[in-house]
Amino acid sequence: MGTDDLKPFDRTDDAVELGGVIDLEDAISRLPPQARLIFVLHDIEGYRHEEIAELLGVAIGTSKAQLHRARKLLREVLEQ
Amino acid sequence: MNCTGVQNSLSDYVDGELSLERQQLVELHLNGCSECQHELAKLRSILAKTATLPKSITPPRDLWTGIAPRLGHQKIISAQFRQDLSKRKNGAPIALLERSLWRSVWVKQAFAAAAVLIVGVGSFWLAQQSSKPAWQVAQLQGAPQVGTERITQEGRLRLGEILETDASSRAKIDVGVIGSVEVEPNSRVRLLQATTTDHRLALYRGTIHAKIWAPPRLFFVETPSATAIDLGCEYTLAVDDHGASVLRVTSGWVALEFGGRESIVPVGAMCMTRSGYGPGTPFQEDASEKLRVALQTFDFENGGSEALTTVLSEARNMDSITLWHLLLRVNKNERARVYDRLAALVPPPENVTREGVLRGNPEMLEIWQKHLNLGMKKWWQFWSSLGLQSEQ
Repeated sequence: MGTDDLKPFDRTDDAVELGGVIDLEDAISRLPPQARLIFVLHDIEGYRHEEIAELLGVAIGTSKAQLHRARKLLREVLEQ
Repeated sequence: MNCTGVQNSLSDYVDGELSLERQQLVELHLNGCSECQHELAKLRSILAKTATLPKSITPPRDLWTGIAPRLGHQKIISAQFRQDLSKRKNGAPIALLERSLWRSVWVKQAFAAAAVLIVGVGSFWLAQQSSKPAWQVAQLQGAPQVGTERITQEGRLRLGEILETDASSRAKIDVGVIGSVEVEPNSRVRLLQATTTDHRLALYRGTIHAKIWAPPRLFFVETPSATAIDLGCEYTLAVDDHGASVLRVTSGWVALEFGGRESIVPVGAMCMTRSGYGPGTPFQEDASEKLRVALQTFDFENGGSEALTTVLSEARNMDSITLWHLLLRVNKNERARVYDRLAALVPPPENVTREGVLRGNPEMLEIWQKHLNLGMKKWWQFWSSLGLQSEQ
C-alpha cells in the first residue's frame, strides 16, 4: 500500500450494498410466484425446506432449488 | 470445484445444507477466490436485509389458494378475505389487501398448526438435522423459538436456523466453547457458521450481549449494516428495524466492518452503523452531546466542515479514538485540522510525522493509534504471549 493510499477507510463504490429494504421488498414482489412463496416461507417466515415441501406438496429438492433461484434472481435484480 | 459449482452451492452453503465433504470443497475454493467471496457477501447481505422485513411479504394469491386446503383453514381464509375485500372497497390497494391477509395472526397459527403436524416426518430428516453443527440454547425468560419450535428450557440452534424472541422472551446461546450471547426480547438471530475458526451469527433485529473469551477474530456478528468482529471482548449490539445498529463495548475491543470501511471500538466507546454507509466514527460513551450529534451529522448526513469543527472543538483527550478515525475520513484539506487537534491532545510518538500522517501513511497511523493507550496493546500482548492470536 502506498503512503498516499487511504482506501482502508474510504467509502468504496464497490461496497457490498444492495439497496435499501424498500428496494428489496419491491424486488421480492417481482420474483416468479413459486420462487417468491418459497423465499418468503424460508427466509422471512423461518420455515424449513422439509416443512415447506410438506405444505406445498413438492419435493424437498424442489424447495431448495426454488430458494436458490429466488436468491440468485434477487442478487441480479438488486445489482442492476 | 469451479466458480460455477461454488456459486450454485452458496445458497445451500449459507443454510448449512451441504454435506461436510461438499462444504469443505466450497470453503477451499472460497479461500482463494475473491469473486466467489464477493458473491457470498452479496448473498449474506440480501439475507441480512430480508430478515429485517416484517413477516408480511405478500404470498402469490394463486398459490395461496392451493395451500389453504392443506391447512384446513379455508373457511377462516374466506372470512378474512371478505373482511379485507370490504376494506378494499374503501380504496385499499390490492397490495395492501394481500399484505393484510399475510400479516393476519391466523395465517401464522395455520402454519404453526401445519408445522406441528409434520414434525417428525422422517428419520432421514432428523438424522440430517442432528449431524449439523449446533450451539446450545437456554431459555432465560418466556418462550423463545428456534424455527417453529418453542424452547421451554434448553434446545439447539443448528446451522442456518433462526432463533427468535418475542416481547416477553429472552435466551442465551453458547458460542461453541468460546463464549455466550444473551438475546434480548424482540430479536432475530441466525447461526451462520460454527467452525473452530469462524463462529458467526447474523443479528437481523433486536439486541444481543456478547461475552467472548477467545483470541481475536474468531467470533463475528453480521448485521444488515456492518459486521462486528470480536477482538476479545464483551459488548452489546442492537439492530433496529431499518438495519441500523448501535454498538457499546464494555470490555476489550470490537471492530465494525462493511465494504472495506472499518471502525475499531475500544472499551467505553460506542459506534453507530447505517445501511448504505457502514460503520460511523466511534465515540466515547461520555462524550459531550454536541460532539455526538455533530459526529452523527458528519457520518450519515453529509455534515461536512461545520460538523467537523464542532467535533474538534468538543473533543477531549479521551476522545482521541474519534479524532484518529477522522484522520482517514476527512478530505485532504480537513486532515490537517484533525491532525493538529489530535496532536494537541495526544502528541504523536517521535517516528510519526505530520507530513506522513497527512499523506495517510498506514504504519504511522497504526503506531499513533497504539500510542493513544486505549488498551489494545495490552490485550494483543496477552493473546500473543499465549501464542493464540489469530493469523487474520
